[in-house]
This record gives sequence, C-alpha cells and structure tokens, in this order.
Amino acid sequence: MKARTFILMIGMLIEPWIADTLVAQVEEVAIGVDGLACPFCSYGLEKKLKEATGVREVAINIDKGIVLLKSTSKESIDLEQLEPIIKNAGFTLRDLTATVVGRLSQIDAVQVLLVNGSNTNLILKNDAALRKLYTGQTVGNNGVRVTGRLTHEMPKGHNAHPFTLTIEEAKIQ
Amino acid sequence: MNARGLALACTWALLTVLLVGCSRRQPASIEYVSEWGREGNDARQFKEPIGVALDSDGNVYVADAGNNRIQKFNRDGEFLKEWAKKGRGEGELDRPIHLEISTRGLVYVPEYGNDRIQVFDTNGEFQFSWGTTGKAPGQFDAPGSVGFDPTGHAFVTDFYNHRIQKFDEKGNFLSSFGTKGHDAGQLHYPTDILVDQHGNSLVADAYNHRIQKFDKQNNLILSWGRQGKKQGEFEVANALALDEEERVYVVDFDNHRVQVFDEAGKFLLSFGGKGAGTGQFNHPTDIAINNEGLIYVADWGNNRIQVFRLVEH
Repeated sequence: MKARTFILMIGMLIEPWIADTLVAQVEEVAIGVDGLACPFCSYGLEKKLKEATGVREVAINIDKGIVLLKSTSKESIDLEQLEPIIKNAGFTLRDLTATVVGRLSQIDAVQVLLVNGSNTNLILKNDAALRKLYTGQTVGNNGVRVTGRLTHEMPKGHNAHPFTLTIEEAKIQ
Repeated sequence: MNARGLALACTWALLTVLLVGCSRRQPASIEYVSEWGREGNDARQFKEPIGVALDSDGNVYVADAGNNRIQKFNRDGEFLKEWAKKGRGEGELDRPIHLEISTRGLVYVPEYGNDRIQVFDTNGEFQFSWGTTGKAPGQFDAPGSVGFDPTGHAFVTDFYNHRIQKFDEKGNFLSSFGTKGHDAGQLHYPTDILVDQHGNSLVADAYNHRIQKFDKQNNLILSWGRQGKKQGEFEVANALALDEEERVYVVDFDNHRVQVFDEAGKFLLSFGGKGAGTGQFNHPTDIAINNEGLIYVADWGNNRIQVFRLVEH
C-alpha cells in the first residue's frame, strides 16, 4: 500500500511534465494461440491479422504456437481488434504480450499508459517496476517502453480500460 | 455337361470374376520409394512444403509455402527450377497452397495471403491471375486448392467462405456451392477438391473430418468419415488424390497418415504414422499420383517430399 501511494505521488508530480509530448505506440505483440499446427488455419490467421490496424508484419512460430506482430512506424497496433480476429479465425487465444511505447499517466488514481491515436489506455501493474520507472532515473520527454502481459483485469471503476499490462520489462526512453 | 456340372462351372466362373475383381480393388500394401528435401531455402530444400502436383510428363511441382515459391523437379526429385518470391505483384506469391496442373498444362497456384489464383506455364512464366478478397462471387477468403473437371473448368476451395467456386479456365466465375455447417452437403473449412472422370467432385471437408462427393449438379451423392483416429476416421481430412482404379487417397493431417478407400468410401488401407523416419509423416498436407502409380506426399512438418508405390497383390 505504501509503495502504491509513493508511486502515485511521484507520478502526479511528473505527469504534467511529460504529458502531451510523447508518441505512444503498440510496437510488438506476441500472441499465444492454441491450434496453430494446422497450416491452413495458421496461414489464414496470418492473413486476417495483417488486416488489423497498424500491423506491418506477422510471423508465426508454429512449434511454439506464437504469432508475433510488428507495427508500422506510424501506426499503433489496435489491441482491441486482435481477440475477435483470432476467435473468428477459429482459434483460442492463450495469452498476449505487448511492447508499448507510451506516456505514463493517472486516471482516478490508477497508473495507466496512454496510447496515442487510440482510445486504448493500458492499466499498468507491477509496483516494483513502476517504482523503478519513477525514481532514481531522469525521466525525459521520450516516455517509456514497457513490455508485459496483457489481461482483462480491471480495477473497480475502470471498466473503460480493456487491458491491464503487467510489466515484465520497462525502460525510460 | 449336365445341370450340376453347369452349375459348378458357373460358380467357378463367378468366383474367378469376383476374386479378380477383388484383387484389383484391394491393394495389399504401400511401398516406400524415395524422398528428398530438408529445411532451408536453397534448391531442393523446403520451408513448409504444403502442396504437390504433377504434370503430364511426371514432373513434380511443390508449393513451398514458407519460402513463398514454387519448385519444380523431375519425377526422381532432381531439381529443375524455382520461381516466385514473397509479394503481391505479378508472379509473386503469399502462401501458395494446393497448386494444380490444368488439363492444358498450366500451373494454377492458389494463394492464401493474396486471395487469388495465379497461373503460370510450366517454366514459371506468369500467364494471368484472378481473385480479390471478399465473399462475392469470384472473390476469395483464403483459396486453398484448385481442381479441374475433364472439360477444363476450375473448381476452387474457398476456405473461410466455406464454399466451392467454379470458373472457366480463364477464371471467369460460373457458379458456386456450399454453405458453412456440419449437415450433409454443408462445408466446414474445405481444403481440397478433385473432379473424377465422371464429373463428380470430391471435397476434403477438412474440419468436418469427412469426404463429400457431389454430382455435376452439386447434389451430394456420398459422404464418409468423422473425427477420430480409427480406420475411416480423420483428424482434419485435408487433401485428396485418385489413382487409375479410382481409389481415393485421403491425407489425414493430424493422424499423420494417408488412408486409401475404394470409390464407394470403403476403407482399404492406410500408411504413414507420426515421425521423421522413412515412410513416416509429420503433418502431411497434400498428395499426387502419377500414371505409373508413384505417390508423392508433401510431408509438411518434415520439410520433404516422400514417394511411395502401391503394390497390388
């Protein structure tokens, strides 16, 4: 609880400083999918995912059951499009991991990563990683690059946010 | 000859006919002949070889899906040429699947990624193409295979549209049949089609785990198979071939085997089994049989083509 309060305080101090200056982008997404061993399906899924907003490249690792998406330089991958595409292609989504360049902010005392050009704000989870982001480093105007696992956990009162990003790796840009 | 003698002679004659008939219809075994290929992108190497087709000279064409190219070999697997690279332009490919050689000797390549059929001559020279993404007549959503009837009409399996579309050999739309579903005559992700000499079409109804046979008017006349691992059952029936005796060879993807049936869908034998050894498969995806009875199987997961022969007894 103490750590969370600390993070919130630091965040409130620096948020205006970095606001509105950074480009946020979902750069990469790794999707764990069951059933990829069938090429007729996996090639089909590849085709469907290429149609998603912001996707430049799709690479399928059939052995590991992972689809890797890379974004275009100008456009963010629209995370909300991915799950329906996977489902409609007849697959079951196992997990989602994303690398997002973004701007830290707070909405109703919850840490979020704002994704420019999209309505998607990612709720951030992992107090230790967040503390590291906010302390002992010079936070510049380049924002942060965060890699983490995306889930649909939503804190109370934050139903508007489709994803929580549990930070696995974070770096100040 | 008295009546008893006549009856005996008739019985003997009948038995002989039946035995000869049965022996022609019941192949005893499959013999491994040869193989070629390993993972890579050089000549004679593959990355996910998903389709195999034969021309009238016995040359072998392989849709090398992961390398987005076509490789051509002679009947013994000696490399002859390759063409295409990944792309959307003329002569470029994005996930070529079950290619086929037309009655006029042109190579028809369905592309999942580009939702079109590209046609080449046997030297790899681009001829023409058709198809765009969509659900309208003549459009595709992941075309997976092409089959030809004796008059040269092209039948295309349209994977995500769960239908078969019929074109003339230039790609002009003629008709279509099939709707998504599990009932008789419906389709659930069809992946292969061939048309027999009578004009009946056999469809690999992959995710219904069955083969369906339709007459010229697209009426269902025969269906067999269900999901499972036993004889006559399938785990994704994804490709088909016919031999000169009209036996039907079905590639049983997730059971890593090929099953052989008579023209009525009666199980005759199977071969393969999961593995990387001689005669084994890792997710086979296509099959083609030449006029000498050589059977070419695209062993997708093992990045090779294996060749077999049916031995009559």
